[in-house]
Amino acid sequence: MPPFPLTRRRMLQMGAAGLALSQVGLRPDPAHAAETVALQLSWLHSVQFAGSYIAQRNGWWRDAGLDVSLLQGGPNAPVEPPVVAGNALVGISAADYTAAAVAQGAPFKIIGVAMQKNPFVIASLPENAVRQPADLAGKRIGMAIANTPVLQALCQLNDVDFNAVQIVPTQYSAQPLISEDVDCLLCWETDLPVAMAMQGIKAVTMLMADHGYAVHSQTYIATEESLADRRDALVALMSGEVRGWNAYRADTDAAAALTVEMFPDAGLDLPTQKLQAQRQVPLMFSAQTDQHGFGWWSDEAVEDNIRTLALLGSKVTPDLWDRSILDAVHGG
Amino acid sequence: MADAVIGTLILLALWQGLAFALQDRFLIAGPAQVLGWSIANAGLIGRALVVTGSNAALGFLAGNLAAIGLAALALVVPRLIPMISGLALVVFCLPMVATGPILRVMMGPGNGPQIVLAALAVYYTTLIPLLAGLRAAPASWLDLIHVYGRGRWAELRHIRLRAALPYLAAGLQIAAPAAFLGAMVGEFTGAERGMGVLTIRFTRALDIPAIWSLAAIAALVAIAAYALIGGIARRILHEPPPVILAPPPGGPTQRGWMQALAVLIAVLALWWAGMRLAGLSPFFAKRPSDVLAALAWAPDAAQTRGTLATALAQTARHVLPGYCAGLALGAGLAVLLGLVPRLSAVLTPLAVALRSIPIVTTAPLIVLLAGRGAAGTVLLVAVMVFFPTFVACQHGLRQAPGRILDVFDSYAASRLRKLIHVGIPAMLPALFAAARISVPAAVLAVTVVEWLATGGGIGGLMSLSASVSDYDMLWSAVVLVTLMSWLGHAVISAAERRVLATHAPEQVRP
Amino acid sequence: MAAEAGIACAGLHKAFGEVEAVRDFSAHFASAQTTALVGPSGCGKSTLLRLIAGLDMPDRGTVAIDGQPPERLRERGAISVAFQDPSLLPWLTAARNVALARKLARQPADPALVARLLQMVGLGQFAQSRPATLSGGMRQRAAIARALVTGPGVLLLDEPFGAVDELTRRQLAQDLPPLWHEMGATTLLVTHSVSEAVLLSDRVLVLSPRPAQIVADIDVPLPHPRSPALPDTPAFHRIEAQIRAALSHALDAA
Repeated sequence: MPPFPLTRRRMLQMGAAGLALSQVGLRPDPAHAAETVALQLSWLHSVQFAGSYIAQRNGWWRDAGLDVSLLQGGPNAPVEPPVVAGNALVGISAADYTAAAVAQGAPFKIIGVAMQKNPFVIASLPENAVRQPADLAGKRIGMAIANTPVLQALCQLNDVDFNAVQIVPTQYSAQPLISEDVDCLLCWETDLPVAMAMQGIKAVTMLMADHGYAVHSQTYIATEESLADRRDALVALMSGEVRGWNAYRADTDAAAALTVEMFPDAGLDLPTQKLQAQRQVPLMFSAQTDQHGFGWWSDEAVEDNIRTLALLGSKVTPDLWDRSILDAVHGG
Repeated sequence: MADAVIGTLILLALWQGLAFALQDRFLIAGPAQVLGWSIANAGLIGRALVVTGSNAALGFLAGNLAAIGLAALALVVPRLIPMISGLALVVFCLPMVATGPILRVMMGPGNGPQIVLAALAVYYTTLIPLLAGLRAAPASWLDLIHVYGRGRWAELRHIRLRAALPYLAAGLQIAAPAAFLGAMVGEFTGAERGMGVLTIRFTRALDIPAIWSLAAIAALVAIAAYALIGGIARRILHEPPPVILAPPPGGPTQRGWMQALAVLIAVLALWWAGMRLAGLSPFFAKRPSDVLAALAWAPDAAQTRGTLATALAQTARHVLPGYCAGLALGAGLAVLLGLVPRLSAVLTPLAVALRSIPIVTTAPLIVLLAGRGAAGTVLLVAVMVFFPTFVACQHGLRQAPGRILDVFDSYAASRLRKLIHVGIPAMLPALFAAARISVPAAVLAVTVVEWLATGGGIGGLMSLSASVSDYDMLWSAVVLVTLMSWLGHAVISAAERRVLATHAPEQVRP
Repeated sequence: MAAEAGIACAGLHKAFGEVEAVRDFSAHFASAQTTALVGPSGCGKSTLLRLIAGLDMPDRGTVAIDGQPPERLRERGAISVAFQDPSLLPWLTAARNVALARKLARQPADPALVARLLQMVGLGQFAQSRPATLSGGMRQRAAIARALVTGPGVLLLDEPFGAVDELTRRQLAQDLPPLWHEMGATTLLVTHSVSEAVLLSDRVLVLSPRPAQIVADIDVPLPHPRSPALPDTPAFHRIEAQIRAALSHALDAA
């Protein structure tokens, strides 16, 4: 499925047209009143969720009879409770968090995978770089203690002696690396390295997904109940997402600009958003998604995830993933 | 007034100097940088301030009205006082890590959780002084009412309501910065905009000038609200502000234990029934029985208890030294200013500023400056405890009976002597009152810092548990934290009764 | 009612825990007369006053005012008390403090009377001042004005001039009694000052140390109004001496 040939100008025009329509009061016929659903995002608004904004702005959900509200996340806004409670039809989670919630009795399925590659990286400075897992030995790594199992799994996958790495508990901030209190950081490809780049500091990043750490991230989750009873809404929601993310891929700068425009109060900075948008692309799109469509995953990927999750202490089975919604989206 | 201006200028100069000295460390933005950033981003900050400010104002209103309503109920049915103050304390001790997401699920998108958390942050500090104020009228004023054959309503109308006003004003003054903090923390539950949202954003982006600007502006707003309420109170009221010396609730008598038991039963019943009635999913809204099971007979109960004990021990290592340091600093500074009054020009604005800056903006900065080790957390707890202690102790020192001081003056006693023999004993009741009210504040501070910045201790455990959906652990931690705050409060009250019985018997009323 | 006019105390008894404050106190205070209760400090005088005002309930015995229990009269605003502690409300001006008593007694406001009384107690210029800015003596005088403003049938004064200087006290002793005579108030005055008792009253009851009992009942047959020079006359000195003798006798006996 080829990505949409969508230029930035065209997209903004469409956005403006959608806006104009809603202003003259061309609402959907009450007989086909839009179904109201919510998508619970996993963090604050940013280009991380730009595909959804594009779908929203272009009215792709509205045309499918869906009135979608995008609920922002935050440090005290876990994704799972609103999805379990039914406040949100779909939530943006990650395979490890979803697995943990399922182990606690939540009836979740993963119905789409936005980040095929886990965004965790080891970031370091060029003069003292960590380019492959073996370089970790003897290094001081700044990270949250809670992420210890992640580092353990990486070491185990690559035969690195975990005890040779010195963990320094730090805030989620690049500051300890810049001031050389640590040699490297465990962080996301798309945030701290981007922040550093914007400050003119070039960082070397080693993507853990390139070294066997297979954990699907930015996964779409829904409850089994919704999968049974609200299938149409799920399909409509996911098709909007697919369409939005394809448009995103076509012009990440336009996606970043739309994000900044839609959330003027979020304190977003356009150059930063543009850089983040670019860096997200290789994590979300691959030959596989080119072939099967956005959000799709292979059975091998599921096997890899199950193996990595086991290293993190989670036992999951392949039926945590449910491809039926994506099949309907890409099939129809 | 001129002194305060000079003091503020000195502080600004020190701040700017420090920023210059540490220029390359990505730690401090000086006042000039802050001003520049704020002007460049005036629109963004202005809109965020309006959102957070109006939520804080609504929460302030709701929380204080609730406090006034509860105080009125206590006045009409005095037998309910132990129950009301007991429940109020328990609700006040609930960690926001747990209440935030539940409020969000119950109230949906919008400003609900921000307003409720702001209200929860203020109602206790208004209720307690108000309960004291309504009972604070001297017996002879009430006799005046009775002489003319009038009853409780005339008492209320002509004496108690008016006599409670200074206490209400004192409570409202403390409440203003607290409401702002509550509204900001409420935004962490997924609000679209506001100062709290920007704080998260800029902390993540390591935008040092932006973080410092947010902290400075939040502090300015809080200080302005504090000063405004103080100013209004001074204009309206004609008596000097009171020292809030609510006599501690029932001691370890049999009746005290019965009351504690009644409060416990009420808490459990409200917890259970509230979750049932709100239809909250047992996946994340655990019932008392779930917590009991998780701690007592679940297969992994021993492990859960172990995890909790480890986390609690770590938190205790931060909160106890911080709490004691805060008390010592507060009392010490009050004493120091008693000896060298000129220092107050510099120290008083610093004290007000330190306390008014919402802890969510200071936490990342202090941890940045002092490191993630014990020092940063201890420091933050100390800051939270320090200010109410300082204010109370200053009041207390001023309470030193004039005639006794005259006796000392007649012997040409030094300031130090007067302080030791008159001032400090007069200050004791105030110190204890501050120590008691500071217990929940210290626990709030330590859990917020662990949650937002260091990731350790019981606060870190709560946030980790929420992220991996281990809600049994989260609720067990909530119960434990609440219980600890409550016990700490009870221990201080008991000590207070013992000490005051000898040093200030008039404060301990039957 | 004529037979019972005035205040009748019969067998009053009051104890606070182990401490007996008043024991078997019986007395009759004639209508429109001023009686001073004199006794050593802490003898239970104030307790007696509170029992008569109905602010405290006696353990035994009764109080009847014009044949009725004090509560009845209180409801009509017919009793006024000026306490030892002036207990003015700090948020009200002197004038409003005085006016409050009329409000409490459910009487119509009377600003002219308030002003006249404040003038009479020497606070004419301070009507709009708040208590915090007044001296101790000024506050006591405001409290007396407040007690008088309702035109009470029974006026109970508890050490009303404790904080008033000697000169002002003599002035007040000349100005005030005509006022309460004019109202026809039955006045009880508690004091430990013998000269004050003689200066102000028609009759002096000397009380024993705690528990309070009457040890002497002395008439003061001096004409009203009493001049400021009265304390310097032999008649005044004679009565003073009589009271002092009774007091020291009571103290010796204890």
